[in-house]
Amino acid sequence: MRAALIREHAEVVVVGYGNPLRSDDAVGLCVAAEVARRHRPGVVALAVPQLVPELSASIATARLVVFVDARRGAVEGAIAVDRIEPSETDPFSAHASSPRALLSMTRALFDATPEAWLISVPAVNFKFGDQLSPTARRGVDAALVAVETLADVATRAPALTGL
Amino acid sequence: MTRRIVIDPVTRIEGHAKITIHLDDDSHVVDARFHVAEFRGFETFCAGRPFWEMPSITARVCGICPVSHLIASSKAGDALLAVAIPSAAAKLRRLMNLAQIVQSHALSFFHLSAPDLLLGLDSDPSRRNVFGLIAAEPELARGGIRLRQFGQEVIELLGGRKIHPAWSVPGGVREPLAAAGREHIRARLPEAKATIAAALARFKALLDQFQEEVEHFGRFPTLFLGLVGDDGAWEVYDGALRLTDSEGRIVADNLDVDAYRTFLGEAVQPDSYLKSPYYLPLGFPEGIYRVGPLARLNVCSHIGTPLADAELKAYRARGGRVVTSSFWYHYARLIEILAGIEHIERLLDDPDVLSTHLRAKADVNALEAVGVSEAPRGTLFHHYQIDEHGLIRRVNLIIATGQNNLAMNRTMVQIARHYIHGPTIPEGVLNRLEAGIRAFDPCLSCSTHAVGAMPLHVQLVGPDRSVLDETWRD
Repeated sequence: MRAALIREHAEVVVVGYGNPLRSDDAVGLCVAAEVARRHRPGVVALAVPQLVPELSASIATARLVVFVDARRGAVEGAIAVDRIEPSETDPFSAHASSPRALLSMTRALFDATPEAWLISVPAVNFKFGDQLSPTARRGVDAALVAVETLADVATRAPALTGL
Repeated sequence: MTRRIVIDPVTRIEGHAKITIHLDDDSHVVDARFHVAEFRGFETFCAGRPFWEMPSITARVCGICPVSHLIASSKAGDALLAVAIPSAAAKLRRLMNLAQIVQSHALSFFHLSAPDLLLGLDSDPSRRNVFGLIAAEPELARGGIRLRQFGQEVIELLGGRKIHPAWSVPGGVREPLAAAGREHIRARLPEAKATIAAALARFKALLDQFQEEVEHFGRFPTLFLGLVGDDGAWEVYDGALRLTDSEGRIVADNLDVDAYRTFLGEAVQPDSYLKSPYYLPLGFPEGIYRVGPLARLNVCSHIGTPLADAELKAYRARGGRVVTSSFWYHYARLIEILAGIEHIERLLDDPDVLSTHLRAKADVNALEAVGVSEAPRGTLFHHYQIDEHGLIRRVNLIIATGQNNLAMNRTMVQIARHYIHGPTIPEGVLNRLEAGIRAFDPCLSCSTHAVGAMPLHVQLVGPDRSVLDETWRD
């Protein structure tokens, strides 16, 4: 994390978010931690409790942003990978927001709209605890594959203009 | 018939609260109360835990100012070990605490209060938020976001993460500051200074437009409490506790923090989970005092850095040697951001901050200790009693926001009496009540150890305690 912080202007920013003490809610954090451990050039991973306003400064210069979150009620074993756009109607506060609201703030503040995806990982247990359920653990593996695929595409594509 | 106005929830503050305003038969305000309706009970469930764990447990009282609890708890732990921690560890803790003050004050000013100050207290409520601010003042909004990011990055570079870093421990700190981290912080200082200079210039130009608010947002005499350095300088990590009055007289100095129960009482109100500390020798409620940025600038003689001292001089030239209006918390907060940045810069020039000698090791050498530091919102006390095995027997936390509780209540009365004339509350008045609370930047998650985000509820209550009007905001 400390090394990642110093590497600015990453092409790809992976933002895993959730509560590390609420079992499967930490699944996004686990994905971000594994991405960070792999030290892929041009890729920075941020593991954060919530999507706070200052994250907009961290994602504004990226070509691709991948959010990873837990999702209750998702089909077991199947992660969802959705392209997302900025939304001005999603709720936003100083403490937390949705990925779409954060993208909206990034656009408003920095005139930047990075390509963004949301990976939703099936989660079944949000009770106090620091262990993932088997369902969430399987989701971590699938999410990592999705992150790698998205990063492959983004880093091979010609540079976008206007960012 | 008495009537009552209820504002529930109060918005753009840290936590959840409501305000009730009591009217007499002629619709005159007779009283106003700020209620905090959340409870968490950290003091109870910490019992039985090893004191070594207390910094990381109590850091989870709050997601905004976890560093404050980390520091005060670690200092209490140092005293239980009866050690003097290595100088490098003290400097790094100070560095993190300064960064915490910068990021927390930036959140308060740029995210929570700037919409009121820059767009106007009577502006369209649907635009009176951070997005409205971005539209109207994009440079300032962007600078504010990056200023908070700067403070968070310093915390992350030291502690490994922005929120709840388990880095400061009894006896010192776990990890040194890397040379690359120091250079990263240095590289961001010019932008941080430019941002706060612009914000100060903007605020000072606006201040004359808020004369009515300056006059009626909590302007009354109280005592002021805060830490000061050996030479009376502004201090946030160590130093001595000083209490002054509204004339600038020192009421008590070098207060013995271990004996805080001899000078601080903690009153409990039936309608709020927020305790009401007061200066014990004056009794309750005459012992009302304020803490936080306004108090720190009142109790200190100077700040000790060139730019912040110049701003302090201008502040005092305009507001007097002792400022009693709570509206000026905003101004004081901006000066403290500048002071924090300058002190961070100075610390980075000290070669000791890269030292790897960071921890004094010892076993339990005392069974009771108090740790005190300055949180962004004011003086923070952690008091622990342990057994011979180091297990917690009793905890008492005195939080900055609680120490401002009496002043926040009196502020509500003052605002309500000035602005409310009748059984309903116009939106602009509702917002002024909230803004009166926001000036203190209360953190109710800390002060009641409560869960949750912070909306507001205002009730207008009649003489028979019936609710005449009420408003909720999420």
